[in-house]
Amino acid sequence: MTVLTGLRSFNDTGLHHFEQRLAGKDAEERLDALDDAFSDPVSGTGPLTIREFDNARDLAEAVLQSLGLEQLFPHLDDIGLWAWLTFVLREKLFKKNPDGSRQLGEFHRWYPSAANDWQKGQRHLVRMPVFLLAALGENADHLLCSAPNVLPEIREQMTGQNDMMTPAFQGLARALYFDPDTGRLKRGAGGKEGGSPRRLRTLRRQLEVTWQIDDLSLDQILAKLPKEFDRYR
Amino acid sequence: MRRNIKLTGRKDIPRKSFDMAPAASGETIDFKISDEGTFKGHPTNARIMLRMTENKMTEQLAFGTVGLPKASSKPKHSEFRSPSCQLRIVASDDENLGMVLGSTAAWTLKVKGGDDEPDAGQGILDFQTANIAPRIWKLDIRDDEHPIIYVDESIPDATEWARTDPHFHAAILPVIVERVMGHVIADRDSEAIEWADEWIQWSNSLLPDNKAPVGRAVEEREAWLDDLIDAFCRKFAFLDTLRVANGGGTR
Repeated sequence: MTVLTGLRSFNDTGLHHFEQRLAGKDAEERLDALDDAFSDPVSGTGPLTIREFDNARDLAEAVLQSLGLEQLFPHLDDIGLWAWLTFVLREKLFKKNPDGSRQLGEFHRWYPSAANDWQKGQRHLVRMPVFLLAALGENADHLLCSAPNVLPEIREQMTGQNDMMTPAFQGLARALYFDPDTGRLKRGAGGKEGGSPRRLRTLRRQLEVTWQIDDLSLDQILAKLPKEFDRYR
Repeated sequence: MRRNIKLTGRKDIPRKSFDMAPAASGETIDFKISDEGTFKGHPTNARIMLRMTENKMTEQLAFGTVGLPKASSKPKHSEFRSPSCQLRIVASDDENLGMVLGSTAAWTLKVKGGDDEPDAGQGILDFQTANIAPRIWKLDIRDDEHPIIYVDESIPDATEWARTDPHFHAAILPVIVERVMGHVIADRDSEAIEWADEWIQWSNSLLPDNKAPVGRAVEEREAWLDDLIDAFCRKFAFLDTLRVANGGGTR
C-alpha cells in the first residue's frame, strides 16, 4: 500500500514524459510524478491511498475521497491531473506483458481526452469511474463492478450517449443488470441479445420521446419495458 | 398557423415561442413565454421542464407550470458552457404522470463563452470555443444535435475568426461538410434524426438533381460527396474569396 500526500497535475513536460513512458518509449522509473519539474500540486486535495482495488468503484472511491466531490467538476478537464492519476495508479490499471510493456489498450483508456470529447472521454479508466460515482452514486454500481483495468461492454453501452447520465435511467439499468447479492453483473448482461444493455440503449430513445422518465418510479419504468427484458427484471 | 402533431400525440413547441437565456449574473436561466397560444393548449398543471446536457452532465430545470410559469431557475452545475437543451411540457396528473405532452427540438444554449446572437445554435453547424490545443479546430458530430466546430480558445475571437476567415472557410469548411455528410448518408435511418435531416435538406438544395444517397453503397456515396463538395465550394466561391484575400483578383 502506498499513501501519497495529495494529488498533482502533470505540466506540459510531465504530460510529454507521461505519454512517452507509459507507451514504453522510455523507462517508467525515469518519470518522478512527484517532481516539481513535471507536476504541480492540486490545492485542496487530501491523501491518496493506493492499495488493491476490487473493482472500478473501489478505485473511484479512493480518488474521489482524495479529490473531494466539490473539486471534481471544476477539474474534469484538467488533463494533467487525470494523466498524473493514471500514472501513479498504473500498476492497478495496466498489466505487464512478459517483455515489460504494458497492456494499455486504446489510447484514450489511459491518455485523457479533452473533457468535451465525451465519446472518447468515456473510455478513460480513472476519470470516467470517478465521474460516474460522483454523478450517480449507487446507481453506477452496474458500470463500476468490473476490475479497474477493464472497460466493460455495459459501460460503453450505457454511457455512450451524452444524455444517459440521469439517475432514473441508470437506476433502471442497475435494477436490470446488477445483482446486489453478488456485487456483479447478472448473467447475460454483457451480451447483445434481447433485453441486453445494447437494446436498452436503443429503447431509451423511444421511451424518452414519450416519457419524462425522471418523473417515474423505477417500478413504473420497468412496467413500460417490453417482454424481452423479463429475464432481467 | 400550421402545428405539427407527432404520432405520440406530443406537440412541437417552436423555439421562437419563448425566450430562454442566461441572466446577466450568469447564475440563473431566465424564461419568458412570447407566444402564449403555444402553451395554452396544455393542462395548466403540466410542468415546464428544461433538460440540459453537456459532457455527460445532465440536469433538469423546472420552470413552474403552464398555468404559473416561473421566470428563472438556477442550475445546480455551474460548469455548463453550451449545454444541449430541450424544453418539455410534462403531464403531472396521476393518470398520465410523466407523459411528455410537448417538446422543442434540441438546441444549444450559450451559458458561457459563446456569443449572444438570438439565433445562435439555430443553424446547421454550431461554432464553440474550447481548450482543444494543440489542435486549432475539432469537429464533434453528436447524436442528438447539430455538429459543433470547436475552435481553440487561445485564438483571439476564436469563433468570429472561424466564421469569417476566408482561409478557414476555403480550407476547412469543405472538409467539415464532407465529414458530416459522410456520417449522415452512411446511416440509412438518418432522415429520422432531426439535425441530420436538416443537413440532407440543405445538401439537396445544393444538388437538387442529385439527392443524397442515404444508406446506399459506398461507391455511390463517395461519388455524391465529391459532387457535393464541388457544389458547396462553387456556391460560396471559396477559391475567388481566397484569391482576393491573398491579394489576387477573381477569375
